[in-house]
Amino acid sequence: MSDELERELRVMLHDRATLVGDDLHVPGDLDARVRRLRTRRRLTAGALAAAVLIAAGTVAVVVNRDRSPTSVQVQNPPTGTTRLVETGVGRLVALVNPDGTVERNVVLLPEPLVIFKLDLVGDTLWYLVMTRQDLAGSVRCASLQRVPLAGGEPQTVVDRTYAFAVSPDGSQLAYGTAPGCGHDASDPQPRLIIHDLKTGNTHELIDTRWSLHPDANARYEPFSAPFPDPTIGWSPDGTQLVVGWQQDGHFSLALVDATAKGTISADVTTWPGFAPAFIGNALWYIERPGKGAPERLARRDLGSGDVVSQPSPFSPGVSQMEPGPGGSLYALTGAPKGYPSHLERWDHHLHASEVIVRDPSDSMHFRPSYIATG
Amino acid sequence: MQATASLGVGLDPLSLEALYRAHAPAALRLSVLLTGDPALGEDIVQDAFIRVAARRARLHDSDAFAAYLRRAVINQARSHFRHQGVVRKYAAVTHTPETTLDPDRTPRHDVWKALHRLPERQRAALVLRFYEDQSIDAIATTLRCRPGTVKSLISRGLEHLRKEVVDV
Repeated sequence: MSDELERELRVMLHDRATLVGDDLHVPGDLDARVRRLRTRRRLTAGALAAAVLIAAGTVAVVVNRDRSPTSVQVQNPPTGTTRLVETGVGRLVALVNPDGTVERNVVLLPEPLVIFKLDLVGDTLWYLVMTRQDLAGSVRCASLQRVPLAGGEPQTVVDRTYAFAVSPDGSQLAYGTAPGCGHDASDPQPRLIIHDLKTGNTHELIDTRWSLHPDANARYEPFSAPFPDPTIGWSPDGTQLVVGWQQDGHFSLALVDATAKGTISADVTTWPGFAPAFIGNALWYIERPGKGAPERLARRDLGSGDVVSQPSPFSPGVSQMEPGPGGSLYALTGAPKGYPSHLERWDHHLHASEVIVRDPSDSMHFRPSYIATG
Repeated sequence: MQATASLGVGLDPLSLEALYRAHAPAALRLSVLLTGDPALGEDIVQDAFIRVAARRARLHDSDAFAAYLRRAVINQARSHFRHQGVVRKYAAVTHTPETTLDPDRTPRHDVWKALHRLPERQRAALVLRFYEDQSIDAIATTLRCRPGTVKSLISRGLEHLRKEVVDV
């Protein structure tokens, strides 16, 4: 009886669905309605972020990746200063409050503007700007620019790259190049460049002989989901770099000696994993043993190389992790799976996790001292 | 945006129209099954599409877009029926979702009518289970409840259908 009813129900639903057909009216005002909704969301997000800043003394980041007006709020507790950064189409405003006073620096940026990654290191704001020309290209890359919060014009540091990380002491910049994005498209290997910000010298940490993937002809996909972008990260002491990328659906990580002079030519160990985050002398990252298998949280000891893993305490679909205070981990989860994304925090001392912000819808990035909302 | 490259012919694959043409038909079928009303179903799909499209900058593949849209359609349909519940309560107007599809042309009309007399969560669970063939866990994620709750919704929904459709 039950099976028969289920069969009848299944057949009825499919019969009804076939009557709907594929001919549907496409509304002519889709663009206008989407724009209106985005504007309304931004107003709400800005108010929410400001409320978080004021009420809790915490940190908020709202980053939108499209060309419409957007806002970014940043506070940097480790230095005891307050910085508010707001971006919009063609402009970037920084309000710096190190001692109770507020300074204001308005920087005009070229149009069209898409800031898709932003970081605050010391008194300098770093960001990747994509132009329309970049967006149209087969490889998505952008210009890396920096602007001192105290004032001054933005400077282009790297013309074409897709990922960057500034060393903890602010003295070195690591960035990636890929075929057609920073180096010749005929050269299939991505590279990692170290740029000494004091001397201006650069050197390459990964050379073309190092195959990033067993299939050397595999296409490099620097912007494939679930990563918002490939990962480059510095260890807290500035001696090692972790590099993460996706290639043909495989996620790989590698540790590279950042103190090496010249090119590292071979024998860099890689292993499956993504969303790396350094905490002390360990590198934490996410493993996905197989398609559909539950994610696992792994810890790799930088000294011994030993790896210990456990079921991930986060919701499925981790795309980014960052160390938080007291040895905790923040993770941005969910978005690639089609679920509402969460910003979650896990304390490995307490073995407890919590959701910090649900559905940070317009945020792609956060930093340890930031809470993303939107 | 690799996965949107196959959308639409002669259209900018990133345009809203291309996205709409690619994803709205499937969403409309789901919406009509949930609401029983093609016109209402289309309104719900448009609203849901606008909501998801406003966030499309972070959606890197069409599977993610489709999943978001499917969930948005279900949420919009549920919002609609919740609102209708309030309207009925205060206006004493009974709204029975009615299809404009010709019932004489559609088989198993009793099952269809009975389905649309179910509470909206039971109906959503049955449609996701028996039309979309989703797993219990996937339905739980979509409806934001526990798998046990989904099993209960499906069981109670089938029980109600069985009582109403005596000749099945």
